[in-house]
Amino acid sequence: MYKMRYAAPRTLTEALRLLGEEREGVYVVAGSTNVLPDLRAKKIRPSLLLSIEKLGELKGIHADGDVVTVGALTTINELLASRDIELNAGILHQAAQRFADPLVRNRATIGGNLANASPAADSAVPLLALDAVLDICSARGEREVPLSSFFTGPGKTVLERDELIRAVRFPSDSENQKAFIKFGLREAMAISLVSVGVELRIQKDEVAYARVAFGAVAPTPMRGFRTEEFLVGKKLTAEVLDEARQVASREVRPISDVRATESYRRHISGVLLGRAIKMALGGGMS
Amino acid sequence: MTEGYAIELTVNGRQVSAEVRADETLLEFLRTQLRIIDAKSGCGKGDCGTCTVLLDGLPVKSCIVLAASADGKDVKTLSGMQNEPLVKALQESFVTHGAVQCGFCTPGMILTAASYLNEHKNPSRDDIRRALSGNLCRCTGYKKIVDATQAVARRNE
Repeated sequence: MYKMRYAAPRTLTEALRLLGEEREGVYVVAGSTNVLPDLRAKKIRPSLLLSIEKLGELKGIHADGDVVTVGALTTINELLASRDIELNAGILHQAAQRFADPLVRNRATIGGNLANASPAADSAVPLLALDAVLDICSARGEREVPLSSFFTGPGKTVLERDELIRAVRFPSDSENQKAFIKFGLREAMAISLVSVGVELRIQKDEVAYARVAFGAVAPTPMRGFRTEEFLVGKKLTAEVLDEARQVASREVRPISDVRATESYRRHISGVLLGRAIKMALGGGMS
Repeated sequence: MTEGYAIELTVNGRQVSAEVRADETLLEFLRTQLRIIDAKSGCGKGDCGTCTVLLDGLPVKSCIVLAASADGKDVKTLSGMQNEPLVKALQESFVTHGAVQCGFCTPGMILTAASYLNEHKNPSRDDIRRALSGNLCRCTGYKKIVDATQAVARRNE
């Protein structure tokens, strides 16, 4: 007979032990904003729901010098309320304002949003632009994985079955010019059609540093490496921006689905990149 | 068949001990075990907000909260907040502004509005619309809902 159990260990050691012991069917759950809809839709059939909600080791936001560490259990509304995030991760703060809706933001966690690995994950795009690294732990030990090599496909990551995301780390972006744009069909509770994040540093009128990330236009949230490479060293003239839009449109790898067609997403990726760069530079939207 | 999980929590000021299924939602627990039915079951997947309750003071969608994870926490539904002046003012304002059509979204709407107005003293119309954006009204009576909420916000200034 099918039985589903629930466990809510109070220490990380105990949680990792349970996670390591169970062979199959363990679902880690925190805010449950993804797990419960999946359960209801019978997309998953866990033998154990392992709640990590009580693990203090996975909580808290720390800004230490230039490095910000965000515990995996940090909710999206905790990000929004954090002065450290506002000052040192402006792009993440912007994205958090567009994440789901205010009620879901009280439950959804940053670790959950990343582990769920939706191609449209709204926290992944700003974190990719921030060059974030994940601290991952298991009973076997700890390792760090750059976010840019964490996602392997829709709903898939490099996380092994016995591993948990403990925290997300990234350098402060307080010196950068940055912007996040989410394009969805509603203002709230929208799944992104396309989302774009940019982090820029301009020196002597030229782009000295560029990070570009896209959501919902590939099997995973993606870095726009080619777009970054194109931008660095250039003066951001109208012609260069126009070319950058085309580089971005070619670089993304979207599919057609119920929300938009492939060609539309390609076009919008370029348009949003241009707008994000202008927003980042303080010029408003064209 | 699932094994029961023992929880202890406070619901509308009352201490409650119960056993819940691993996959039981907080909404289901409130409605079927405790017979507290002012939290409504709408979409069942976290989209509509008719199931809004306060969990440790924060508005959440109880259909996507596990009952087991409410262990040790404080849960409030609208019916447990009848003595709060802000809630009363919102209820009266919803009635006088005609912000109640079929009424199904109303408990969730008022809970979300109350918790927002508790924290924000002078919200604009857009602020209120954003604050209520997780609660859907299928009668689409949003204008009056925002009017009713704004009227209370102004009274609080």
